Amino acid sequence: MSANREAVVETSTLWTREKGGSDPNITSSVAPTSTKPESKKDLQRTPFGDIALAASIAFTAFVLPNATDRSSLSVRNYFKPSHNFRCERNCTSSSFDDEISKQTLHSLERELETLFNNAKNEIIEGNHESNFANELHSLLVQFGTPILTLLGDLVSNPSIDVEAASQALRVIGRTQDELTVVPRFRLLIKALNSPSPIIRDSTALALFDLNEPGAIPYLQEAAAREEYVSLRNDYLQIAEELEAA
Amino acid sequence: MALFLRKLERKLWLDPQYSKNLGGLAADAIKNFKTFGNSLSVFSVEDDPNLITRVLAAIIGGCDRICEAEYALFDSSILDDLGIKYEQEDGKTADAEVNKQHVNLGDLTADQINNLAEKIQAIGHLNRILHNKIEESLREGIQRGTIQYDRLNKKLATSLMI
Repeated sequence: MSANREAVVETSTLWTREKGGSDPNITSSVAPTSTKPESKKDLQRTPFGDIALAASIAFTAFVLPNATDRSSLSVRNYFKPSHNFRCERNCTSSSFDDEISKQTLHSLERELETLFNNAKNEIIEGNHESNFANELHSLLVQFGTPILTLLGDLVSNPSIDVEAASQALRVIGRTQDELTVVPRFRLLIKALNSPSPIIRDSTALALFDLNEPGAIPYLQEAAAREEYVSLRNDYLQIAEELEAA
Repeated sequence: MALFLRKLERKLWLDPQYSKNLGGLAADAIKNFKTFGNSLSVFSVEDDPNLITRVLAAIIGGCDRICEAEYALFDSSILDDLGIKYEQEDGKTADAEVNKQHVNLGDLTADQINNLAEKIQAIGHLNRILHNKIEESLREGIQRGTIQYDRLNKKLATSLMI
């Protein structure tokens, strides 16, 4: 099941990058196209729907065996132990894996909450490394997708400290890790819909840091609906720069 | 009449729409005017995008990493109107030419800072230069020898070597 989930992510990536279009799993509204989660566990972790699942099965069955160099690089490396959350714990049983994951996710969740709470007491300046940013970066590099799932929930929480959320988004954008580009991209695209202009501003900058041309149509859409004139111009400037890159 | 540049932490805090939604100048906007010894650093610039980028790159050169630079441009007449004293004082960036453009606004009161923020919001110009342009300018400066590499922030200098 986890293999399918990862494959869905990579299907989106290939579609976006090779067709030059938008990720079909992300709409311009907040909610993705998820329709029917397979289980409560899936609902909590990754809201992919039946269409995406079917695409993933088709992808796994027909595309992977004939994968090109780039797809084999991205898809197969995704399953490498060093980047597989469960495999890092040397587990083989899927049920045991899930149990470990739940426990670890819970402790990660608490760690993140503490980190965000402590960030309120830290003076965070844009161009200087904060402890918050450093620690978050370490967690992101160490845990990848699971921590991104938790971060996605945190930054969309209306009670979260806006400055800490903004910093988190910037860390997500500038982290150098090809293997988490897709989940980071998805998280940032969703954050463009944040009710906070500060978060939307940071998200657009994070998308520029990510340097993913797939963000261009989303930035243009965001500009079209943006109420702040300055932010509208900023999104378009970033879209232009990504286009030129 | 001189044109002054102030590097901002976040220009959105000074955005008139942002203030309008709050019902007044955002308290966070004052974070853009952090004083040291009741003094505030600005740089005298002309309306020249290359010079503005160079000044901002020199400022960012003192930071841990290359990042976008948000800034406000405002006319020196604002300072005269608010009774703010200012004088040229060499800056401390890695770019000697830019340092000569540094101007110190001195003996500031909290009221003056607040008024300056309001004036900049009303008639100043807010803008941003993305990190790729800052990096380009830093690299050019190092190549031309206008930026002293060993005066850059160590972390940032290391990242430029990669």
